[in-house]
Amino acid sequence: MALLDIRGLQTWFDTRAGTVKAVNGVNLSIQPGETLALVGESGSGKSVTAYSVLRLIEAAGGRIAGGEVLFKGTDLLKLDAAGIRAVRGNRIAMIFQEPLSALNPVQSIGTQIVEALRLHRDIGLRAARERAVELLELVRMPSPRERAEEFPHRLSGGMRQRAMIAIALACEPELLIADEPTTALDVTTQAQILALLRELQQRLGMAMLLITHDLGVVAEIADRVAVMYAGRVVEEGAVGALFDRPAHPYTRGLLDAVRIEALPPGSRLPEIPGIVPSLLDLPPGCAFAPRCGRASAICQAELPALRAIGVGRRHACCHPHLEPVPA
Amino acid sequence: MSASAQPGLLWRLSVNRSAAGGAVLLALILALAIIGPLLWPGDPWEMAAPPMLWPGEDMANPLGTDVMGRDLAAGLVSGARVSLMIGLVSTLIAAGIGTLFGALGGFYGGSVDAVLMRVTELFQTVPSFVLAVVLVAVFRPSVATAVLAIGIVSWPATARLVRAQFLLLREREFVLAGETIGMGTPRLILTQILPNALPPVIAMSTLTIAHAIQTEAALSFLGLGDPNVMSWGTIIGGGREQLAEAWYVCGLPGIAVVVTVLAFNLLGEGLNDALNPHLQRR
Amino acid sequence: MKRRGLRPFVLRRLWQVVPVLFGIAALNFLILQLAPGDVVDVLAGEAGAATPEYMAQLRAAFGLDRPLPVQFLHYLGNLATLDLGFSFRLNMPVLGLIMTRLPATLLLMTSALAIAVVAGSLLGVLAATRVGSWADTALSWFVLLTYAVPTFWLGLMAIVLFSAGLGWLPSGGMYTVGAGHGALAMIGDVALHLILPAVTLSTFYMAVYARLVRSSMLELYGADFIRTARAKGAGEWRITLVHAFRNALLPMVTMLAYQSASLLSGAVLVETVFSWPGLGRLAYEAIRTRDLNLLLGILFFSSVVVVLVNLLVDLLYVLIDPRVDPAGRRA
Repeated sequence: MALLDIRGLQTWFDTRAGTVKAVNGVNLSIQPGETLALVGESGSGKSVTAYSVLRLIEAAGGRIAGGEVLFKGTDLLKLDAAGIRAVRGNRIAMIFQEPLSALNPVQSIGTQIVEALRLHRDIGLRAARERAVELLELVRMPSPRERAEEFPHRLSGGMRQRAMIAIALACEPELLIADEPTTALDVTTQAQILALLRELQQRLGMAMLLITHDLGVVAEIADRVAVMYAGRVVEEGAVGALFDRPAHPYTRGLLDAVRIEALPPGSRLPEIPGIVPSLLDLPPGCAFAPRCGRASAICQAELPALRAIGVGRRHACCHPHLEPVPA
Repeated sequence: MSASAQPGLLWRLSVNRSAAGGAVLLALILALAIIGPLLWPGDPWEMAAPPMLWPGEDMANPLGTDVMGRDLAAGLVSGARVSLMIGLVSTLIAAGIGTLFGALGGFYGGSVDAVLMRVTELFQTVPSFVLAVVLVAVFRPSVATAVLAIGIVSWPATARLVRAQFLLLREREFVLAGETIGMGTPRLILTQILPNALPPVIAMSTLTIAHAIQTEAALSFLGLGDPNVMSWGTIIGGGREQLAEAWYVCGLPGIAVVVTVLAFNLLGEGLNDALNPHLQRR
Repeated sequence: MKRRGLRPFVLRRLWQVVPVLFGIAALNFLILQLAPGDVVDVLAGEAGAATPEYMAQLRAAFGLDRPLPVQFLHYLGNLATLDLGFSFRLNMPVLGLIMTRLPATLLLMTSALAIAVVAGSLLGVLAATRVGSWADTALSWFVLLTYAVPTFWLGLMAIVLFSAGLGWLPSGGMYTVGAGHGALAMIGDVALHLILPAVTLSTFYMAVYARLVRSSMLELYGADFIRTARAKGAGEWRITLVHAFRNALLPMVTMLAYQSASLLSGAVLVETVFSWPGLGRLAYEAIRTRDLNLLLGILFFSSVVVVLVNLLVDLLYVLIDPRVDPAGRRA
């Protein structure tokens, strides 16, 4: 059974201008111990999908309008407030893009790790403080005992993200959701944090949902990748297979411009001509059709469903590319 | 804000609920101050009826009389004129000093700014009401000293606001353009920067009037009012001794102060919203 | 908590106080110079309370024939040695008078501030957690009204209602004359007398803090670290109190520094209304008797109190916001 199974998720934002369907029928699943990268341009709904899993989207003004989020068979969307709190930070943890603003400025990082522990574990304050130092050691924080006493503004960007990871790992979660964890860091630090994440994931055997628009990061760390466009998954597959043979014209457009082997971390998604359609007013057919060179009448008429093209390979396109990317 | 924004201003003010409410209240108070003496002629200091007449007891003195038998309605009307006048004039003084200090500091920067800001800080450190009390007491209570004293203690906020505006506007293209075509400093300040810095100053001055009216009431409550002028604070101060038996003597002028200050506060807040549309709540 | 360099910080701030004190002294001197009559007329009280011999002696001591800068230096020297002169009306040194009245004023100010901070925070948090509810609307009306009500009038109306009308609380003074003995009974007695003046003085600041806390809480609810707390599994109350409110305290402390002067001004009026035997009441007595020297002494001393309070507030800010580097710049 999949660790996490997202089925038909719809997350909407009610605005004065109308309902923004930021996530509109997303299906995804993550196996235990696996890393799934979710890629797409900003506004494609990848972050909204991630925030919907822990139902953090409600505090941001969103509304989960439909679907299921099954975590080991339990629908997280049906839990009461106490039930979802017991999952957050405990069985599913999260790290964020901007570690400085994501940490409470007036608490030492040790205190913030202790809070994460004591929210879910019956552990004394002294023991929790000891554990916090161990966790900082685990994320390779230099001189962890001293750093535990420091406030976030006194740490470097990389150390802040390490502290953030220590908070997330406090209760040994089965799934870590990482929302663009390296975007705000410089290139050297990015590589270190990525290596740390990969190492910790293997050591602790946890699964990871990695939100990124950085194809270099995907190549470096992910097992599988799902590409989102205008609130839907348009293609999905193992990293190697998908990078070799992108079927969806959107994915191909993304990958055409870059040589995968040469991708350093930090490589952004290339520009594709045209603009993303307004999520307020999506066309009835394929949302990519207005920008697609292969679009035909059928693309404008009906929404293509995700269809399987081999083990773990799926795409949502009526005119997929079948040939590999020319070398 | 250029002249082309002006037609929109009235409209924005009229749709702004607090501004409209404040303007209506203010119009009522003004009307009272203007036509009041016609309705209740006679000296507010003169004994007009038996003392401590409750409001409504005798329709010749609708709001009753105080312990000396002076008509409260006439007193309130006189108080309205005094309050509005002192509030307005002292605010003009405060706005003048504040604009001068803020403009010079913001325009020249450097040591001029540093000195002026130290003086401003000094006036914010000294408890302003205590300073006003000392000034009025030393220079003898009169309408003129009250106006001056309130003006002198009320300018720092305006100075800070004007300074911030000048610092922003100083670097704007139209100011630099004026400088390059050889405009003199006074002309640059008066014709280019000041008109653009004024809208928020007007909004703040409306709030300053409200505070000045409160200060005037407090001064005359302490017995530092002009002995020849009947103001709201004077009536409240005089009614203190009979507070238990005739609380309306203190109560009515106090309500007058509250309504007037409320009117200016509402108008000021409305002006603030209307003059700074980008600061409005989403 | 690692707070390095706290001592140098205090010393540096103390050093910065010197020019402010100088400015206050200069302001006082300026008022004296501009006053009608000469300095000694003002200092000795106008209506001939001092003997002509003493006035002559004072004129000589002040060196009124000497140039102004010398007189100013002389004046500064007096202030520096805390010589604020003599009150001929009350027949006591001004400093002594002020010192006997200061504790009552400080008690009133700190009680009012405590009430304002606690009640204001509570109201602000309540309104922020229920934006748009009737409680939120009621708060905005309360704030609007409180901004318009003169403090001294509020005090009078409180006396009308709670003392004259309901008879619950004493209408003035600090002690009941000839009341019971024992420290506990006395504390209770003072506390009872303190309620009306302290609540009256606190009302305006309560409104200010409620509004401030409400808006900072609303701003903080959108902060990234609040989202982190939520992702950790913290409950809404924990998020509100431990994370949001703790951070909302910072702007409140900043506000406090701006208000210490106005709080003292308010105390003058409230003390007059409630016959509270503090500096304000002393100022009222000085006004009645035209004891200008005493009045100037109160002005100087209350400014000094404001300076010291602001110093304390700065220190408090360094203690509660770890981002402030006591050695200088904000990190």
